[in-house]
Amino acid sequence: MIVRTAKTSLSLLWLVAVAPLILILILRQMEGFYDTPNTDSKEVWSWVSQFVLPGVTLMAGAWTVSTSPADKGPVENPSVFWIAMGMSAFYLVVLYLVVALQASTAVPWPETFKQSALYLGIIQGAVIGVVGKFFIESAR
Amino acid sequence: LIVDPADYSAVQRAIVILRSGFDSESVLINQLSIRVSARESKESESVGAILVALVATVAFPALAFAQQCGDQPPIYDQALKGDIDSEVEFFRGFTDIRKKLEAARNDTFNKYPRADKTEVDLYFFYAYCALVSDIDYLKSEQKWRHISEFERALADLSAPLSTRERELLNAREREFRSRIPLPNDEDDSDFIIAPRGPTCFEIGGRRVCRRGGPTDGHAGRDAPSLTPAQSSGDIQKLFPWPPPTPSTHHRIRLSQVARNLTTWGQAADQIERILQQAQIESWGYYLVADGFAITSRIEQIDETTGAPLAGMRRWSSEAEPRVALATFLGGLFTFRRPVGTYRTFVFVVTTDPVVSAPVPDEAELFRIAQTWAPRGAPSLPEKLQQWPLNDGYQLIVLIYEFDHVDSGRSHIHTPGRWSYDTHIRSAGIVLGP
Repeated sequence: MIVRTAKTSLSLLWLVAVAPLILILILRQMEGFYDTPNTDSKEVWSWVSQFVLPGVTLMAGAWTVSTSPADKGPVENPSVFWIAMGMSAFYLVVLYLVVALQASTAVPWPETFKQSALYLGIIQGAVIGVVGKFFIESAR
Repeated sequence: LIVDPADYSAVQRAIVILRSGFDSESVLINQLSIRVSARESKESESVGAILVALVATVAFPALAFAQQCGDQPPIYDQALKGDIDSEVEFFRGFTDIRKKLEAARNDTFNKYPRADKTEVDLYFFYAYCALVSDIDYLKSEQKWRHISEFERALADLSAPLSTRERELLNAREREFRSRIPLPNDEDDSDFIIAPRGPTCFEIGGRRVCRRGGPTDGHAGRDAPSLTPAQSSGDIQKLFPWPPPTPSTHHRIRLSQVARNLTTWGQAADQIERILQQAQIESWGYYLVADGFAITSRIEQIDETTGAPLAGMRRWSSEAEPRVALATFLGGLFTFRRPVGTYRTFVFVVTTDPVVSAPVPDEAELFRIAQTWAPRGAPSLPEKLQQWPLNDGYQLIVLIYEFDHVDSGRSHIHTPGRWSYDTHIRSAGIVLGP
């Protein structure tokens, strides 16, 4: 697998996963799902910017850098790529789980976001680390 | 400084002056006057002037009370005076006085930051003293007890007592209580005295108070509260009077409900029978102006027909979700919270021409309406059951329709989506002999 294909695959995974998630959150906000007493729907977008945007901006940043000759070469360390893919997929599934369970749990939605931050922060750190490693190594 | 112990207001002024500026003065008392002398070193006298009134209470109850709180302290700001009067009305429950006073003082000083604290405290005391002394059904000992408690709270708040002062004050109060044993019926704290006086509600961010409605002379003033261990303020919050504007209402002659109803107890029994026939699960009693109210447990109804939902869903406080949430996708594609339609009936037996009050906060009203039945008294107290009904009494049925989004907004339908008859019929309520 060449570097460019690997980068595209990883970016597509994030794009395909994040876009519907944001769409769901937008629809929920429009339909009043987050319109509950003593809450502020800004917390929804604060959660998104905290746990979705860092990964997306990392990849967007990597793409804005001009393509290097290395893009056409083979991936030097495929295991890093596959770990990045696996961890990204796992992380994105957890994001979906948080959003899906909000509809059925008795816990107020701001609390579900707050609680999720406890473990998402750790997972996200690891995911961004691996994805970052892959993109940086690929650019060499 | 010499004040007449019979002039309670003067005593209070002395206390406030002492505590504000001369809090280590000692106090000597004789039978004709309270003499405040120069500072002395005796610890028992360092309790401060707050003890003066308690001592005076023990020594000269009849004398001091004869003056009915003395002259009204001068407060030139009529708005401030009116606000204090309104605040004091909420102390009628005689419970949590310190807490209520603290809140009332904070409110007052927040609203009137330039108000003179001594003047405000004096007026608080005067207003409370006047309120208590005006209650006919309290014995003089009880009045003194309430006033002493209030006075102690006031002194504590205006200048917090030291531990030693508090110990001495407690000892003095125990002595006071031991000297004046309360009658047995006073120990019964199941029911407290009913709120009476202005009913307040918010209109456009401003609190408006209305004095009690017409009375036949006994109901509002002498009746005990129907809500155990509730203060008048809490009752006002729980079941305000005048009641919040209902979705629909209807007035019925009591004779149309049942023949030969002669007491409150008979009317209550008849209404309970009607509720039982309608399979209404539970209800709660409240005292209202010149009568009582029975509130049915809030029920969930069909949003299209107004008929109660089947089985236990009728009494569920959560709406049925439109999609199955058990699955991951079901939860993910839930964009709205489930909305339920709810209804509660309030049966009011009263002589008061019921005028409803605007609903300032629909969510709050829904939340309160959910507690009407469980927090109301389960039955009419024995002493109220014997009270006679006259021709002036009528039955007013108030119906409240709500839409409530689970964990979200609430909305009361005024006017309601269904007519009074539809509501009554769909609930299975049969009003008639």
